[in-house]
Amino acid sequence: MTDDAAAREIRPREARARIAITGEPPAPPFHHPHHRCRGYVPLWMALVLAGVVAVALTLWTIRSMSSETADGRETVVFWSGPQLGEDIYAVIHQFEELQQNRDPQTGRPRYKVIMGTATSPDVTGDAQRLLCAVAGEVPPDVVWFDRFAIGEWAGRDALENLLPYIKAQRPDDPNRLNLDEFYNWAIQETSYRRPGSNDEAGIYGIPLDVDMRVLYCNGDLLRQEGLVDAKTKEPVAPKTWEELRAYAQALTRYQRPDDKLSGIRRLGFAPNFGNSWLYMYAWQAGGELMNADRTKVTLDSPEVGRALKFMAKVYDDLGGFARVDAFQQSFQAGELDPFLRGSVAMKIDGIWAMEQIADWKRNMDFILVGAPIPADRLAAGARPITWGGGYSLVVPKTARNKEGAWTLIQYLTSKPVMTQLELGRREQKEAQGRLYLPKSVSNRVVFESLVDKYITGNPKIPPRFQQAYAVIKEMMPQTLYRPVTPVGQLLWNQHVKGYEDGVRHVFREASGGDEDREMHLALANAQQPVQRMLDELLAPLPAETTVKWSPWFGAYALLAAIPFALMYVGYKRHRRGATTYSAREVGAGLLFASPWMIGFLVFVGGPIFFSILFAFTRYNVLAPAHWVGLDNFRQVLEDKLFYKSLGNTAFMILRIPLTMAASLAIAMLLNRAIRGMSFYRTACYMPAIVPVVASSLLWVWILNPSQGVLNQLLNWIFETRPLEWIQSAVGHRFSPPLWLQDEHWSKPSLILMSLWGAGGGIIIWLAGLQSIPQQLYEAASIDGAGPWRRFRNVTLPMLSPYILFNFIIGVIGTMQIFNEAFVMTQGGPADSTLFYAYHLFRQAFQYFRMGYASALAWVLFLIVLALTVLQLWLSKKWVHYDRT
Amino acid sequence: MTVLERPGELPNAERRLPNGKPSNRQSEIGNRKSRAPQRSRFATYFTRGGWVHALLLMSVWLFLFPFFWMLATSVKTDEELADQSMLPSLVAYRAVSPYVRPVPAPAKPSDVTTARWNEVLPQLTDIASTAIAKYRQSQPPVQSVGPFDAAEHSRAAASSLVNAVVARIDRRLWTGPDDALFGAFRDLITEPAMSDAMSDALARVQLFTFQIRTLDLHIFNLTEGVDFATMWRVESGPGKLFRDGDTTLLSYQFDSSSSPPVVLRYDFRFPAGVQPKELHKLIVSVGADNSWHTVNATLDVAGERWASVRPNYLAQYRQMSLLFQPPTFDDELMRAKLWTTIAKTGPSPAVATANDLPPGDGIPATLRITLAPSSVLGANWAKVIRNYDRAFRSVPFWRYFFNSIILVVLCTGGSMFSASFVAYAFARVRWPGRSVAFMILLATMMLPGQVTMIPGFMIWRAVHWYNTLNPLWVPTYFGWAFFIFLMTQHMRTIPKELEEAARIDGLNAVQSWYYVILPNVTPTLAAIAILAFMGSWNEFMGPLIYLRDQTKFPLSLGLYGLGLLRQTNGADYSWSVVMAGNILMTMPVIAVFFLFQRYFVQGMTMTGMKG
Repeated sequence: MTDDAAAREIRPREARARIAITGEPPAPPFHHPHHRCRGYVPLWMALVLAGVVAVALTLWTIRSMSSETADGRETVVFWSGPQLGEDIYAVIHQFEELQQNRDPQTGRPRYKVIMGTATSPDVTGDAQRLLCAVAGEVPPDVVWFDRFAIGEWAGRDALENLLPYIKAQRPDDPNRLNLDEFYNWAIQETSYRRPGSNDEAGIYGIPLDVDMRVLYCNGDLLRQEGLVDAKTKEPVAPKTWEELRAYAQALTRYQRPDDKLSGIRRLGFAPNFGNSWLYMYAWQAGGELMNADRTKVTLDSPEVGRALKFMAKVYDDLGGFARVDAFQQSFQAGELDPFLRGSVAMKIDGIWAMEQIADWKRNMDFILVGAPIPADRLAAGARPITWGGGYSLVVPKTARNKEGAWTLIQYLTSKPVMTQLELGRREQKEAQGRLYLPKSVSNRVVFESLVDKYITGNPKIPPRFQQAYAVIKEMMPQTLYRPVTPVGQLLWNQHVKGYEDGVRHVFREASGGDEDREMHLALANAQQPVQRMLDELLAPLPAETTVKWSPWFGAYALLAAIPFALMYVGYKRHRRGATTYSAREVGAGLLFASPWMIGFLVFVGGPIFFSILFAFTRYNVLAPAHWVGLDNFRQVLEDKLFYKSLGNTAFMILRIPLTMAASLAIAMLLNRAIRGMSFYRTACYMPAIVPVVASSLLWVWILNPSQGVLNQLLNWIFETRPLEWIQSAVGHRFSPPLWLQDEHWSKPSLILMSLWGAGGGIIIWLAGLQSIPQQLYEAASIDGAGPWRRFRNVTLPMLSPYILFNFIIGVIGTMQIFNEAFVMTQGGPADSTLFYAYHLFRQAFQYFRMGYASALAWVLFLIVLALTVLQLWLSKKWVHYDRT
Repeated sequence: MTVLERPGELPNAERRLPNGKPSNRQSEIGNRKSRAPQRSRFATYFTRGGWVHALLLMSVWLFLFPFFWMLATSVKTDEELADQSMLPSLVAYRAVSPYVRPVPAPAKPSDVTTARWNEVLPQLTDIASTAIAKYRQSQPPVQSVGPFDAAEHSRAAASSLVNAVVARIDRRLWTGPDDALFGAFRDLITEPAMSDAMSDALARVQLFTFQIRTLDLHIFNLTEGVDFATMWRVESGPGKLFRDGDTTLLSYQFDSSSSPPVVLRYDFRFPAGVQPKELHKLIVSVGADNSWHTVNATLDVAGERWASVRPNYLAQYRQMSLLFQPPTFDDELMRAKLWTTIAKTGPSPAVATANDLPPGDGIPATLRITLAPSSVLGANWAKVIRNYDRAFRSVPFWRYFFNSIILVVLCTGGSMFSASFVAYAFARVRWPGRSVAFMILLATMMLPGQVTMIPGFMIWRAVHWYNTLNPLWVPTYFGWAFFIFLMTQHMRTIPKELEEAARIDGLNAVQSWYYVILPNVTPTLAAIAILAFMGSWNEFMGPLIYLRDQTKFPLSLGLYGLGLLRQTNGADYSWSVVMAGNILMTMPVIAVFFLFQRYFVQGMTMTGMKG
């Protein structure tokens, strides 16, 4: 049956006759069933097709939900990290093929390891995906995990305690894990017990590697300043804080000699360049950031205050933190690393930085020693300290295949495999013609044997590296580590905040010039949220506050029934009144509206209802929720980041008028130039359709301070004659901004990027411009209005509804800005691109604070609502509606 | 109409001309033989409407420039990125190697005045040249099968030496007496510095090591450094192996790009006890000479021949490891595939005879490395596709692409269906509460997505659809407020009579929706389809939250991962690869937009702003 025939059957002859009688011509723009194009699928066929697709999708869904492989092997999902190197794949393959991992009867492999990677440099930096996977009840079985975050996750009962597995090992197990061979502190860092309790600590991860922080000195620069041993003429590294401070001043060079305000040209030493942080200095001064049983945060203590004061003093000696920081902003990595290039003379950094020296400047005369400590403590017999961290393998509590996970962990942390992975790295390095330096693995026996074999006494290894490894080998066992606590991440963030406030002298005025008091204020301010969160965790809410969800589901069902009841009432009442609904029509209306109604009740109404409830609870998804009343909202008001992120977001509203003006200007030009219209329109529109991930990456590259095209252009412009002249007249050399790396330029950079996408608005503007009656312009011209007045008094008022619409949509969109910040800046630098939605996302998916995040979401909604109402109200004054 | 007929415009035109913008019409006008001065003709055009085009062209240039930059970056080598060149350079045909590598002119240290620099540079260059010339005497000459310009090499090495040494001089010396400066300069010219400078100025193919890796992770070094010169041989072609310090140098001279290739042959034994099927990879570490000639490998072992399936290129001046790998478990993984597959091509001609081989009882094998000349065109094409190829092979691109296509098809279908279906209820059917429902619908457009994000996640978790693609497309079948709104606005414009007639014909509501209304709203449907397509193609946060396995990632998340690879693995994934990935991801959207632009514009203008 052809389509025409089908049409004829559906539409009897009389109907056509009736149309002929009423004289209704088939309106040209409207398709009449008669004029249906060929190939229009009949309804029944469309329905059958839809049914087939639905069945196929269901089958496909069921398949993608199962975790079995086709050949019946158990899967072990392993999220590894890039630092494990290329050989990890071969090691995993070997694991699958091992004799002991085969079925005794059939001899077929038991396990299939599925390798996945995080969508972030490391899983901890992107806890969100792991949390989602754990909360979604299909977590990976083994995760390569920053040890520092173990306390955080173990404290929320999200990780499996591996101690029972370790104890249950058979003595003849070929991959038997012997904890005595590991650096003890690394094991301690994976051990967690509830703060203040005396239970046996569980072990929540098996360490893979270790690191530590040491002082690096550039021997040549020390020589140039005469900082050498009187007899041997060899450069001498500082041993005490006091010496370090003197060295820092002696080695620093300014743009104009001895003028600290002119900017730094070579940095002698900056307390926090490299990787040291306040932790390092606090320990050096004999302080701790938490007490022994980890129930109290001791950030605000005299020792830590002394450490912070020392850091601030060194910065002040060099012209203040801001100047040192500005100098650091220009640093690059790899071959251009400032320490390698001699723009930094000394730094405290991790031992991993040695690899950079080996790769790029293996003959460098560098000295690696333990970092200095205060002279009085040295005199009292204290030894230089260092602190470390590293990665480990953990098993999520809800992993599906814990047995397989443990077998894999045992294998990967066994001595032969650890050695094998290192040898693979060695081959790679040597094949590239580079120096191989053993990575400090957590197994002390393996590490020391690698060092003995490949470093000590090896003539190919420059003596400086051999000396460095001797220092590392000696200091590594005494390495300190950050407290294992459920508030580790927050403690870290706040300790950074305390440090920044201290060295920037934020509390100088409040303290009245007393430096000790100033540091105390900075630290106390930073300490308070950590202590509060810890107290919250340590004092569990009473059981009666536990939220029982089932009554609320009932309540929501009742609530959802109300509109339908009202509809029924309306239907009945209207039957008695003048206007009537036919039952057929109401039925059809409900049928057609049903997808939206269901969708609204399930995906909008329900989530709204429950997210209101969440806002009054404390809920981390992994444990039951508790009612806390208005506590979350109170915290919102006290949250400094809330204001910061709101301010950042508000700043971005600037982009709306800018993009509107740009796209309106182009649309007005287009409106004049009819020739080539579609070419111009397409070209201007193209940036708007580039996927946001692609455009973000593109702009990160364009805005790259050293290699990006924008700064290349700016540099070129600054060197042209007129600008050279201006610069010499002003007496100041212009330099292009650091864009995304600079906290003042990061938001303008994002605005610049949105301006590039401004062409997206021109289609709507064109429609608006073309709907303005030409007579209005003619009348205005006759009245003597010039182009500007025609624009001001005709175009703008006639476009005002469009402006309002775009503005409202733009404000709503800007309040939710997220992707750009996530891809381009991760909220940095200095939280300058931490937008509201990103702050909320972090609270929900990084700190597990669903209740608090829901409260933030509702505050956001209220703000958006208020802004919209305000705009609508203001719009009465300026928006012109054509009432004709 | 000529200009002279409208004299009133002339002064105006002349006033504007000095800052006249370039126009595409200018040359056309210039070619015409005209009595009137050509300036004023152009000026007239410019004042009448040309300036609009000029401004538009300028903004088009601004809008398109990032695309050009993205394209240009995607075909650059890492060196070109570091050199900050605007455009990628063309590769020239390279007939002879080794050859003198161009070195940059000595750069002035920042704290030296230009006058002082110009004053001392010739003398510094002299000192360096003398030192190099003297050093050269003590060194064996550069060996080559073709001509080699030793004088040019010395000059380039001297320039490189000056560059390296001036960066190390104490800044105070520059303002001091010449003697002290030159003395310090001389002292810093050490043997390693000269050796580095000579090496920097020479482009050559070097052979470092040849290794075999087995599947059980053992590594065997079969040839190292100077041993290549003795253990490997040139089987055919215009090339020769020379000893070069502690490595081996391969010199060649191709008469043209159709010259026979240089074939290096190595007869060896597999390490004792290793079977060919245990072979994981062959690793040849070489230094490249930026000639973009192709390198292929064949391996004859156990009566079979294996050959590489795609060529490698001697790109850039850097050390690299050529990895040749038979099919293994690696091929099934979602990892970056950095090796060249070697595949069985058939039986091998006789393997080396016993007297070619070192004694031992491993299985005998023959490895041939073939260096074939690339034509100018071939080399440039190889350079263009190189980064795209790297992008394809660093991530499972086609898997991501396939996932994206599934999502796009399902989402676009869902949005089109639900928008048109639901809009019918709002536009064409009367039912109690309709206007209230419509207000609610409009209000949901204002609701920030963050409000429903967390409970939404729990819903999908409850039905165990976490880590499936379903949460990303199922909601589209329930309608999205903005699309419903667009569609409702359009449906309201369709005359009632059309549908009444159908009703009388006995069509029920679903039929009249399908047969009468749908054909009349195709422009809006097209607009919705395009918006839904772009929305789902670009979707980033959904996959980030709902997907665990890499096998399920769509392109947006997958390519974000490519950007991250750059952060963690640094040099191996330069910006060029990221930009190539970006282009691959952007192209489908642009293609769709070009193809359906007409409908899109029509749909947007028709419905966009009637609210």
